[in-house]
Amino acid sequence: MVIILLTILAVIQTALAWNPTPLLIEEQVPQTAFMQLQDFQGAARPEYNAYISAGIIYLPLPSQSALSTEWGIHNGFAFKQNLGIWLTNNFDGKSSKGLTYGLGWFGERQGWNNEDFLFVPNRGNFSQINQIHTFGFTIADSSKHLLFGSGLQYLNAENDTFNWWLLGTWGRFSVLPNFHKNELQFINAQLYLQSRELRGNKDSWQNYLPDLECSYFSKDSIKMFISQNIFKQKFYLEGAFWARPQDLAWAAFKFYPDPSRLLLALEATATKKESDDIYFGGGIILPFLRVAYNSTKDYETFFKNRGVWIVEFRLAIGTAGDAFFALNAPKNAPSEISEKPVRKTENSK
Amino acid sequence: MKKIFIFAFFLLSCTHWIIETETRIRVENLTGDTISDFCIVSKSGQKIILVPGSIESGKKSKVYEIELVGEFDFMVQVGDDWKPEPLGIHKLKGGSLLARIREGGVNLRWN
Repeated sequence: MVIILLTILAVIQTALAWNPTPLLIEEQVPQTAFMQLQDFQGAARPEYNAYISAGIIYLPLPSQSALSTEWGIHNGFAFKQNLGIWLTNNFDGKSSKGLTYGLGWFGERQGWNNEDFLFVPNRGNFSQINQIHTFGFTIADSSKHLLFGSGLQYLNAENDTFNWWLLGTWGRFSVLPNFHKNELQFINAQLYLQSRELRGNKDSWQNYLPDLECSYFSKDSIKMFISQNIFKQKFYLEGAFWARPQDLAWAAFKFYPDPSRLLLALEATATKKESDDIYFGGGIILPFLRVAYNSTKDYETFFKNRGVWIVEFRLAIGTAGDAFFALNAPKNAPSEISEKPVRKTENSK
Repeated sequence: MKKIFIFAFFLLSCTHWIIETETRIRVENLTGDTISDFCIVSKSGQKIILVPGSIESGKKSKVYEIELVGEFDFMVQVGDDWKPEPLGIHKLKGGSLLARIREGGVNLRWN
């Protein structure tokens, strides 16, 4: 039975063969740079204290992500490794008064190498490795729900580029412009209307307000995103589309059995590719592991990946006070700490 | 537990210890002519020479090593006027390879 299933999977794999190309790897850089800042914007909120994330996508077979160049097909490994830390001086959540200062670094190494590696790539013939790093400083007043941030972004692909960015967050609204020298690269504006217990909002009908996001790249390139809670902050419908040029980007149905989004997430996605085809996929996200097939996230962050089972070793946890949660979650994770005093029994010493 | 971690670490990044990423190539000339510069060609006509120099009829070349595994388009030059002769697309699997070139194509033999 298992063998039959594996054979079917292998046939599907071959039918949807995906080969990263040097161009796809190069074009990934601005996209990843954007998403890194988007993550920073979601992680560094005035009410939050710290955020840590890590991820490694590693495909075990050299034929799964063979590089396609004008020379032919090269066996090797497409990879993605990222690490993110944002820490404030109140990272343990104990001093809640006054201003909090935060420092952040989000880094990613991605590309293709002819040998696999964990720390040091050998950079053989045709290896192509991008580095994208975001550094930032934040200052926040959690009682006024205000945060201001600024920082640099370093992009290393064909050549080195430095960008700089600003971040302003007030309550449910947040804006992040990014510049190269004095030239605007993009503005990302978030209007997260949904009430979040984590950010001090009350549980009410406002739980059912949508989260909206608008990413302005240029007059001819504007992307919109909407996330709508449909049941108890556990079921969500999400969609992203290009306002200009008008086009669907992706749509997703997500289920978080726990509103902290930390313990388990199930998602089904439909992604529109350049060829006008729509690919259906999905994934399971556990605290330290993500398994996905044809999912939007991998299409957008992993060289337009499709038709490959992705296993990512990962972690992403934010803290606020003594609460733990995943990025953009509305509530904190159930705590194991019991507030009841331990009852003494006669036998205990 | 420690062993599991070491095993996971190995699986995560060290498969190149067991999977070949280099090919050692030796060319045998089974044609009646001298052949030279056994190479792969790109779609735009550029060349990477795998085995440089001329090999006389019936002779074998030295062994050359290259970090290349995959599927490529091969070519060789034939005769004293170095006439390009396409050999078609073949797989390089890594490891040792004896490429036996005869009239009308190449026969790849893996050792």
